[in-house]
Amino acid sequence: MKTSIQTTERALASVDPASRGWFARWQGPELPLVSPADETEAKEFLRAAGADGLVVLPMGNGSKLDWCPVPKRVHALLSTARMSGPVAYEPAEGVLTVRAGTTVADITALLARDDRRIAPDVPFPERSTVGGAFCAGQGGADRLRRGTWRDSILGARVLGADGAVTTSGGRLVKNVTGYDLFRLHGGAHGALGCVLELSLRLYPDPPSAAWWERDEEDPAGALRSLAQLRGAPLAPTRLVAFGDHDHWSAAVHLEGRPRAVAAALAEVTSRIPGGRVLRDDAARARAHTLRDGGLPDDAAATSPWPLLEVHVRPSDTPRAFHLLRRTAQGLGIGAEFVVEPALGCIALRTESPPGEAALRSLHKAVQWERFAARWMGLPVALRAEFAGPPPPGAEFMARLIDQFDPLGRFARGRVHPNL
Amino acid sequence: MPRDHRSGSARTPLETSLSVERAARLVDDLVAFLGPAGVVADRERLSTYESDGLALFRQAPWLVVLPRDTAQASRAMARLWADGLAIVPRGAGTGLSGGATAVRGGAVLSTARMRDLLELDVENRFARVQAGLVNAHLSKACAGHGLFYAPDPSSQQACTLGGNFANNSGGPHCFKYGSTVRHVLGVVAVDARGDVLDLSEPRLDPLGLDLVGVLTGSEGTLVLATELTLRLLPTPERTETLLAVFGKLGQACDAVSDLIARNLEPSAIEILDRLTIEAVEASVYRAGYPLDADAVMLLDVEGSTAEVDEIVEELEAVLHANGGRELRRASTALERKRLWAGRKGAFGAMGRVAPDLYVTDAVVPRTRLAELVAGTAEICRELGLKLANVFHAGDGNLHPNICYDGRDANEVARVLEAGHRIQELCLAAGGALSGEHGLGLEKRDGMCALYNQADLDAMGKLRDAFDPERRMNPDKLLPTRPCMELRTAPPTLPGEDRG
Repeated sequence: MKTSIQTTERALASVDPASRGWFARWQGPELPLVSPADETEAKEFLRAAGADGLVVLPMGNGSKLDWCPVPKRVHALLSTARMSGPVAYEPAEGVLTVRAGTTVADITALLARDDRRIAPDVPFPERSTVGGAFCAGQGGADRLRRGTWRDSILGARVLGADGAVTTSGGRLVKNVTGYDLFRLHGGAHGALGCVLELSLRLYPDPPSAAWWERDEEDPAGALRSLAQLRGAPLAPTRLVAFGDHDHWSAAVHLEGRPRAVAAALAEVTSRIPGGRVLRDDAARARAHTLRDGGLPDDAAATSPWPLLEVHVRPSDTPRAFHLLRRTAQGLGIGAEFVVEPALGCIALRTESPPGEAALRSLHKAVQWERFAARWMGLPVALRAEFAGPPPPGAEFMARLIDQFDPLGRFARGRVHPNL
Repeated sequence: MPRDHRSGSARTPLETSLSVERAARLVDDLVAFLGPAGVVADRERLSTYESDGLALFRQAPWLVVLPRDTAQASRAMARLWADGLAIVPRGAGTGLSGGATAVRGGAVLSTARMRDLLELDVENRFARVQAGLVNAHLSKACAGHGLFYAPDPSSQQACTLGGNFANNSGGPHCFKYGSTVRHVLGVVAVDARGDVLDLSEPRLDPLGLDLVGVLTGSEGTLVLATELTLRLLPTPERTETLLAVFGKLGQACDAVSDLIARNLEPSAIEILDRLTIEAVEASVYRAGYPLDADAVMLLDVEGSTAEVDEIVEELEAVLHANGGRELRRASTALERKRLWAGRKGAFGAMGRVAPDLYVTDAVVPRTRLAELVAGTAEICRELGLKLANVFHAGDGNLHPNICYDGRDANEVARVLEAGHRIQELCLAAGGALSGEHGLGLEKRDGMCALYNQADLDAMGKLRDAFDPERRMNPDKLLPTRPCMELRTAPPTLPGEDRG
């Protein structure tokens, strides 16, 4: 074993135990996993790995390793899981700076006492590190109200391929000082460096919440119901249609001050008759269940059933959804759908492990329509094949990766096999 | 000698490092595909482009090109690249940091002829625009559809959306809606070689690296944005505009810190101090601000009727508790417009106080507003300068405006010293160099006070990935000398070391 691994290796036990099941979904080669306790150890490991000619893949708890192809060259995993906890927190300032290995659930617990929260509201927050979710470009269930990581991240500290830890952005809610380099790491899957620390904008944790849900005869009915809310003065957190073969629902998640939520709820029920309403904690619990795909943590961890996310223009959502559904049905793929028409997002989760041929046909349909798509949890053999054409601007992305990591110290090919 | 299509008369062009023949051939080539209106090369007309809104820095370009679209911009950039010219992108020239100051012997690429609204997709709530479209024109174009474009810099009647993209511009309502970067869904850009980067499809999530995010706010040093895809928001059901009157400026600042600590979310929180109030009330922007107030706070609350009512009730209590002696609600749309016209016209109104205005821009922690606003006042008092404050209080974005006479060299020196000391004060408190104006030439060297050399080297890598020869807006944003050298060198004004 290389010196760098021998001197810095930590047991897999250092990774959050809850993530071990997910870690198995990586399906890549068995690799040493190094989990430094702090920035100094991380730098030392990267220096030693570089001297040994090792290629390193940064990760958090490893729960999203199966979102991307396995890199062709990778010798060790560098986990930030032990580098956790707040660095600076001033509730009245509305900004939190936190180590990248902190789980989203721990952040949520820290902020709850001050009625604040972060966004996006990502699935399985107990296991997701904030750095991992950011670097994977993971979306949240509150995207309609609070946006994406781009709307929340204010600055970062990053360990680069040259071993230097650099800062960009800051700890202020508004700041245009220098290049926002930190933005490049969102969705980069560690290709440009290992994110060590993030500063995040905080949002008020709304004192009141309501969840309205109505059973629908079919998905078209669910989408029609939600369409009736167009133009309504709601500012919802989520508008969603979801279901499988037999059962479909439309739902609205509302958050805010009590009177505002009550008025918004009245607006919903006046436009769409029927439905049931959950309030506050019950509403939040229901929203979280749907956020996590209706799966308990252990089931999600052990179900290697692919999830497909498709993004289209909102007006194209019904057509795209019906096409995906018909295609899946035609291929005999049992699937659950979560459709967010206001965002143009469609998520398809297969209900059982489908065959590769069926998955290929579904992928071809997606490619034919030129939908922007992201597969998660694919069998390892299909991941590179399903990556699709290089993203727009791939040539510029390649230049960036070469510029920041000319020697290829960080594993490549996870943003796209060609990058 | 210049030809007719360049000057229309025997005006002499400015110097360039190109030979006479090569320079003439370059201009001829550009005119051939841009037309005569697309090239400016005579000294008299070039003087229009010698500065942006920060007139302390002046340098006329050798040449200005004005393409009509992305294809022309790409071709022009490639042609300029072939002859080794530096290129400075320029929108309306309203920037306040010298970001559009030309390079001696270089070219300015102006988006002034790229002003089309290319697509307004009401259903999907986005617009595709050419970079030279004026900010206010976009909101005007979509107002009839119940939509608006959120970033609203004070110069929105003149500034371009491409300029906003380059500077990640803000404005009063960015307190709620965020700066430009939160509203850019896509971009078409041209790099120094003329290569086109087409990321125009509106996307919530980037595919791969977030190029759109990192290009926003890059001050024209990486690419020239030619088209933008921008997010539009539904017009709120109700907007309530409030004016709170304070006997002390510090009370108004403390009220802001308190509002934020209590999770109250108006969409804009602006503060104007006494000198600004006097200037506004003596100008055509007169808004009815009380002349006996030390400060007024202007707030917008937007949302559903129930939401607005609830927030306003809580706001009123906090404002009163912090010494707000009077709280007015605009009762009509006209009154609301008038109150905001005073705020938006404040910079223009300062012309009554002194011939020139140095608009500084810094961000500070919102919990320390009162202390730092008082600190800026103390600096200006010590230096015998007139200071007028009008700022985006909710974001901690200060704009200490120093009124001076540019003909008085001694006063100019004191203004620059004040700017430097204010910057030091804000950075020492955990602030940053700029909240919305960008660094340009003015604050470029200040980067060494906020970041270390390794940070700046990493930023240099970004620049090198797009423009290894540093032809795009050279000398802006990043220090041109190592920080170690800058720290030990005798003090110079920003831009003094330029050729």
